[in-house]
Amino acid sequence: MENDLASRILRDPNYQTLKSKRSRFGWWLAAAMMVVYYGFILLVAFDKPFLATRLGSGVMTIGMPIGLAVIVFTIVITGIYVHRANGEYDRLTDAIAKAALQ
Amino acid sequence: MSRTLLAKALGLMVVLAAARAAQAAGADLGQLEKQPTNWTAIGMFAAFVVGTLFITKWAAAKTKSAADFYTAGGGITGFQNGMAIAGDYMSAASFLGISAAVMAGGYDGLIYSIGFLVGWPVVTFLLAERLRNLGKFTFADVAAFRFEQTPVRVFAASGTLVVVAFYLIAQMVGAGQLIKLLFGLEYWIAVVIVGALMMVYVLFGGMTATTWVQIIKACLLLAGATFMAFMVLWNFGFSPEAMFAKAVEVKTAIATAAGKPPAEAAAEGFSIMGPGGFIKDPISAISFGMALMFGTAGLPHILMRFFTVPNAKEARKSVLWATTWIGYFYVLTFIIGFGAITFVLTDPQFLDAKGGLLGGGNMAAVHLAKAVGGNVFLGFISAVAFATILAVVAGLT
Repeated sequence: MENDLASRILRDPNYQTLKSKRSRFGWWLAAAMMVVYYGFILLVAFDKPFLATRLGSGVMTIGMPIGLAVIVFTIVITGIYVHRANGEYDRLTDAIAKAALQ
Repeated sequence: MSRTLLAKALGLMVVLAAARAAQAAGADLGQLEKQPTNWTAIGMFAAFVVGTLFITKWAAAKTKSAADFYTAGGGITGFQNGMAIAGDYMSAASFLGISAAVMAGGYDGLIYSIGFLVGWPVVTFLLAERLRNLGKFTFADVAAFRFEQTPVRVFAASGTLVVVAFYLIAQMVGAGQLIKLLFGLEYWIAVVIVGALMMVYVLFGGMTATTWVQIIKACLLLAGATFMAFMVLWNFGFSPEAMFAKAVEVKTAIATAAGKPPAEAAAEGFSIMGPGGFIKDPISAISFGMALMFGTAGLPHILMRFFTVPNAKEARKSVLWATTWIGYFYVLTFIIGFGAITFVLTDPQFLDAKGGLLGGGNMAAVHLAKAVGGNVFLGFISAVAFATILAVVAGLT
């Protein structure tokens, strides 16, 4: 019975879609986060003068908005994931559960 | 399994890195003068302890099964859990340490904060759901599910104990020193109080109590930090440019006073606006970045929190809330650090004879509290800082 249920879920095309979609999406977002973060760290490592470039006539440097942008990006990308997972993926999960338990 | 250990080792590296930054900030915790007893701070702290002990009692009454003990019975909402995760994150190292690092090095402190923050979404995208779906309580359970039980358990237990012991010792020494400085109590009394309270919370309340302690602490800390950042910005007419300009001016003046020629002093003053300081060569920048990111991703007490909510939807919501609050908090600590440059480094009442901070560099945020909010607010921030250590220690256990 247990195995039967598991194989029924495994055969469900919805399950396959969910699995591949969700893990691909997760890796894409993780990659995006890595690119942004390591981009920032590499700037820190290799081009300090760029981050210390003044904006306009004051002491404000370009590094400040860039740093802030990395923080905001982190929040936004998490938001995107949560929004999509709680909408689309949960609908798929529900559909799979319903089909399997019929 | 080796991945768990690796993650833990990296987690430890984060702690060590934070401790090093704290030291770089000029802290000399070993030789603190005992301060006059501060009754406002003690009163605030006592109120916090009594309040949280009541919560523990209430939680103990509710805790009936293993699931209740380890995961608060899954009865915490996403928002509450997000707050608790943020509470776990916002340790004394991030509040006192990062604001002190910003005060000492300016922009470099921001690099730290960003490193702490970005490990977080990666955990969510790749690890969180898989862990949750297995329905196990601890990381060791998850590893044991896949591999042979006994060696995995022994290994995990040893790894956990080693990491927690180091983490605990650091936090308890910090707590003892903080109490000595803030409340004027003896060091050994402080350590005994912290140890006893922590055991009470965990033994009687389990995850429900520690979660609520974290939530309360997170609210207090966010409120206090918001007030401080608000007061700092208010003094500069809400213009970050004015705040940065003044900070550069102060740093330049300090360099001039140290006998530097004007051009060099101006360069040193301006150096807080860009990276420099402790990340000197590319290799260390990259290794530092990796340590912060993966270290954060592997913190076991934070991974545990995915299990305290009823379903995956709430777990994801809690992650979003946590990220938002933590990001906001790091922006606040950055402002607080710059505020400390302009208000604390210019005020002789906070400085010792050599121009260093009274009580060591890590006291930047505490001194700023007094500068912008007077003695009562100083008491509040001291109590919150101490409660932070207590809550993090309890959360770890």
